[in-house]
Amino acid sequence: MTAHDRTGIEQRRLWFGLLGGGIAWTGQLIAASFISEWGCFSGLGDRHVGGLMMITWLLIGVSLAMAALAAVATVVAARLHARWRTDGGPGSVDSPYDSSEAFLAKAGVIASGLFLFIIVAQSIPIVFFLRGC
Amino acid sequence: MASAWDALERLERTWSPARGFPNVLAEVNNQPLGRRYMLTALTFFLIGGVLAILMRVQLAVSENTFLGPQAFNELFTMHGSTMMFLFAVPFLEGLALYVLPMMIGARDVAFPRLTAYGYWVYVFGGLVFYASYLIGAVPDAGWFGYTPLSTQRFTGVSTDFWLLGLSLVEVAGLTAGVEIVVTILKFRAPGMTLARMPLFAWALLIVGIMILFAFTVLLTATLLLECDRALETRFFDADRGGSNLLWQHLFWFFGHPEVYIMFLPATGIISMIVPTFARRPAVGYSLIVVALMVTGFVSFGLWVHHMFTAGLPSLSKSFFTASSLMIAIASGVQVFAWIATLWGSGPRLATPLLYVLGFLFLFVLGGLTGVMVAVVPFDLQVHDSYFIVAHFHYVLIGGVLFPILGGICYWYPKVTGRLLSRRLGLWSWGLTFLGFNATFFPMHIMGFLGLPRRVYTYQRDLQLDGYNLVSTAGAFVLGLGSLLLLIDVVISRRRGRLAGDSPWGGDSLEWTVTSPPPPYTHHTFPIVASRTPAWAPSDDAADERTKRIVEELAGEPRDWRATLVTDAVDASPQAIQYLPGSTYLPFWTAVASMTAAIGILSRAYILSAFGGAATIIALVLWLRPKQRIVRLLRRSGLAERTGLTVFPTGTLSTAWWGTLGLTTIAGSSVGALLYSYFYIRLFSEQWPQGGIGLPDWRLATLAIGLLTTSVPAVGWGLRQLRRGRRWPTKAGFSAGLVGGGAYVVLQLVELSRLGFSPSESAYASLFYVLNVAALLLAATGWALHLAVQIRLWRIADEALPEATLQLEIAALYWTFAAAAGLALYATLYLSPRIL
Amino acid sequence: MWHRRFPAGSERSERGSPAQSATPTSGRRHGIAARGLRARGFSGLAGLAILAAGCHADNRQSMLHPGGSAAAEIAWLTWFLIAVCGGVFVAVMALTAAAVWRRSETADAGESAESAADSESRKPPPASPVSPLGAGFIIVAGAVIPALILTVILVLSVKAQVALAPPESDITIRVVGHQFWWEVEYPETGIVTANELIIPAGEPVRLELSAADVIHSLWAPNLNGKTDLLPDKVNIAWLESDSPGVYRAQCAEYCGVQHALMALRIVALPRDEYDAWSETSQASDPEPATEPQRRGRDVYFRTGCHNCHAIAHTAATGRRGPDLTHFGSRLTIAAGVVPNTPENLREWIANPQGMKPGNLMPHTELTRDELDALVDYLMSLD
Repeated sequence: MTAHDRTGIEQRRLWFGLLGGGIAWTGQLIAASFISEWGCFSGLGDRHVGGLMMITWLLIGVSLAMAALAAVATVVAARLHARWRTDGGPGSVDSPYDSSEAFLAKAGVIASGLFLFIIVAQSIPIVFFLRGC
Repeated sequence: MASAWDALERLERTWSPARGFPNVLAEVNNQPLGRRYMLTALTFFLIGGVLAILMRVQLAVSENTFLGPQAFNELFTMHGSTMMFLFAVPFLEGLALYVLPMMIGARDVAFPRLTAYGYWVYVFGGLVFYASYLIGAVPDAGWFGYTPLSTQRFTGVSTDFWLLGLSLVEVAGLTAGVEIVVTILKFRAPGMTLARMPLFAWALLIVGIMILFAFTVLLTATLLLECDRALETRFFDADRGGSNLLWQHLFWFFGHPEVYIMFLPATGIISMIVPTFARRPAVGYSLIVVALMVTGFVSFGLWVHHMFTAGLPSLSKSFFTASSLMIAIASGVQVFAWIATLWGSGPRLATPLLYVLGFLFLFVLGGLTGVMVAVVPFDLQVHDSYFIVAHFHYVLIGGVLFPILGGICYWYPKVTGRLLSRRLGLWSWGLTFLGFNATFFPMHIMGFLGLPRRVYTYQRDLQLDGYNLVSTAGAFVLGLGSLLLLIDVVISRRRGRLAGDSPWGGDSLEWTVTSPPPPYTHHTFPIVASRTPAWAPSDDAADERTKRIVEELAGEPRDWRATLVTDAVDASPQAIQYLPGSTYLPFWTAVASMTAAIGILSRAYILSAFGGAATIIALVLWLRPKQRIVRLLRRSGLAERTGLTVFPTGTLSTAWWGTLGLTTIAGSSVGALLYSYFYIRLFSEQWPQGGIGLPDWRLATLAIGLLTTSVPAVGWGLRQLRRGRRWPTKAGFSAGLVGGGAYVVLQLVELSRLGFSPSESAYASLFYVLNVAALLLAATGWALHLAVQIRLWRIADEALPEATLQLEIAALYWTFAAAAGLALYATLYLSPRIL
Repeated sequence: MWHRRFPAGSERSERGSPAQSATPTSGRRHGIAARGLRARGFSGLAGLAILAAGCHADNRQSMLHPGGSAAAEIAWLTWFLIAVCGGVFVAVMALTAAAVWRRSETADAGESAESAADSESRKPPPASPVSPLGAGFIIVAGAVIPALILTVILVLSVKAQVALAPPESDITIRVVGHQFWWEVEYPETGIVTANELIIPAGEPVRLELSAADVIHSLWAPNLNGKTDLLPDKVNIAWLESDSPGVYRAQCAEYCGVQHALMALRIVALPRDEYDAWSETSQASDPEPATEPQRRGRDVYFRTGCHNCHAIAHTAATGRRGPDLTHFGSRLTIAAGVVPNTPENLREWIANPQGMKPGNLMPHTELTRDELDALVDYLMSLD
């Protein structure tokens, strides 16, 4: 199968599945570092809402959203891979190897899944800083 | 038969490298330039090694007076900068430039002239670095150049040498980055899909993309610092609202990925050597690819772990502990993939594999101490101590130099046609390995026992004499080991045993060409059907079209340089790319760039202006479309025979991808500027700083309005071109010329009537520099539009299709320039009113 | 005598490695410091100074010899990390060795290369059997197990971070980093000193860190991790010594030509002696008692020393160099370069660039007599 046989939507899904996890992780890290550095320095860390720091809520929100994004990317990539792994096509005669797209989809499953784990791990510190920086 | 010989001879002549002086200055082919890159880098490696030995002699005993503090500080600054910027990265770039086309089945890299320019800029950058020794103002602010120590107040012209030398080398790095990415994406042999790409190429693809972001941020940061030093801006002046932490953020945002920019190609080398000696394909190929990707991403999210002691909030630091720990998973995957590949294969313990095993030992150790320093409380103790010196030498020598040395042993026979001596190789390997451990293992303990880094001496009562003496003795052994290999490299060039095409039985395409490879690299483009093409060379299942194209292009074209362009994802043939031959332009452009840098260095700005103007003129000559080539390509008949275009446009063209790379570079530079703006903004109590009022938005809004509205007009013009309509095309593109011109003029008016100078405060500096950045981007785009108009008015209607690429590039760049202008406008004029 | 007075301290000093002996200078230093402090009439302090001198020799600057709770917490974490990482290293190396253990029966590189040079060089090598280890092994050994270990490390790291947050503290000390010395100020009492941080033992002390010129970093590995001193903003750090003792600390951020010789002594005193020290340090220095001392004071003001070096309650108010109030009781000169003895001081003033090249103290042309008098005067400040 060549790239041109795929529809544009599937192409976009493929790239989302491949890079979505990484983008989500980037978003979480940049947001978390900016929110915490700014929040703690500017005294926002002293403002509490519902017993927790305001910035803690923000951090929890960002982390959940980004984890969800990575999870969606993983699922999208997994579904594409499930669909493509079998159609060998003329470009992939050596049957152990899938087409480029199937390969990228597989890479997307692993990468986005790994990023999902990293996002979760990166959220662990939040639990230890609920009330102060 | 005679004609076949004749054809081969003509092909040979077309590609043969320039010989003799001054012809060598005009060389643009990847093979000689790759070799030169590697040899120059090895020369700098030797120099950096000598500097290291001198430092170790000084530190052999406590309170030593072999060197004074000034000399020592210069040594560690130069050693670090040399090894990072002048050895490791350029060597790997040179290796990539040399090996990649062979490995992926191309005849050259994507931008031969850019290769030459990059090489010369690199050499000149290195010369500027070391010219500082001639006038006795050697950089002494450390390879990390922390402000305020590196500002005008505390260091003199020495830091300018460092900054400008560095800038030139960064430019070289960026050219190599674009080069590598575009070559890998577009020049792969038919059938070498992304799923079958050699792992070395995968590593380089990711590294190339990383370079575009990381080096740009460093280049931007060094330019900002040079502005602070030369033009009295205030980015890093805490007294005027600037921030020293901003420098650290920017530097390490480059600095950490830099480590992986060196390390990932090194793992790529390992991933080539291991399957060869295991005599089986790499196990866990897709896992390795994902590990490379994840490393590429995450390496940009670790930078704060260099700043754990800088007083950032505990909460912020803990996120970076997490990211720094998690990147170890990616490395773990690679290590176990290599172990799985080697498992039970009974590999032959030749020198390349020995270096791989040495690498595994040292890198795993260094990686584990890396895990340790990610732990904030532990890092607070060992940060800036000798523990860190030990850690990163394990990672950089173990993780980068050992693969490089292994790679030298592995590819030397391919480059020269001769084998390195096995006996010297064993000695060299053993001495390097033992010497390295003797030098650096004790440093872990010295760090625990309280020895800070970057000290020219230590007092006797620290009780560290014994460890240091061992370390110094080790350094001599290490030096001897590396020297032996270099000697081997020199003497085996003539006296080594003949290697044959494939002395190790490697699995990738470079082992299918002769050793040394012919100047055109591949006579016939290989068709790839597996991940180990050298082990399964023939493919009967390739489609007829591909087979016919490959047949038509066997040894063709003979009289001009060209290579085959394939699809970025599935590597199906798309076009034939003309490649330029020898020219002096890159050399002179590099000279002009260096002149501009030296002008800033000596504060002779007239010289800079001259150098800058010369650079622009050279670039215009360089990029000017040449009718001679158009006629040559049209006449060749190759398009008819192969069914492929010889005038590739859009995503088929390397120039289009190169422009995309350029916009990525410019975009990350704009990103770094925006980051600086908001970073300083967030930590300022008053904004705008220093009593400057909110910026007047009226003129700027008019300007950006004109600029952005011209973008859809240009897009419309491009669509008209594809329909072959000349006048609407001209009209659409005129909008770019007019809108862009108006923008440039209005921006100049805006800048000239500001009621404050850039040196008033960090805000004022940001205001000027961000506006100037937008102005420069638009002015460059305007120049492209001017060139487009000239061409549109001059050429005949039939020649319109051949001008398509130029118009596409102008439109692509224009879209980017407008987007960047809009982002800068929104930041400068709107954000102070909202935030 | 100090063994009796400060059992905790002596015990600490004995904990040091037996191989470590007192440096040759320690005895002399002990004498000098004791003399200076005795003159001021504080026998307890004198004892402490002896302890300081003695302890210093045995109590090396080391993060593995913690003298306070923070360093102890980190030392525990360090040993834990060494154990875990060491275990992983051994395991990975064992696997690597196992992977290549079985040597090939085929010939070694030379022969094989020669045969490769033959015409058949493009022939693929004999393939090995498929590896018994596949993606599953890589995922488990390379991702899952590391992920578990790393998560444990992450949790421990963050917990230690929280535990190391600055505790409540009665005492705040300002430390200002200069090229290449430390200014120490006690805001509550107005005491200003240099290159010595006197703290009460057994309680946390809050430090407000900043820099006058470039970035420095305060590292007292026996007590806590390091924190940078920035010109931009004040960083907060804290120290606590479990028992009385003297610790060496050093600048850890490269700060210019003499970054290497920028040390600091941290002296932890029992609380009552700390209070006594604080009391006397606020008092002015004694008037010069002898003729040479009076001449020395003249030299001090005539040759311009006072422009850079302040002495409290005198006309000397310069702040560019270290404050010299109670200079005679200091343990070292030039930020820890040499013990504070008259001979060393003479040498230092006569040629400041000699023992610490590149420091910012200018050379002052003095006659031998002037120098003697000046040293006499300075040593009398205590």
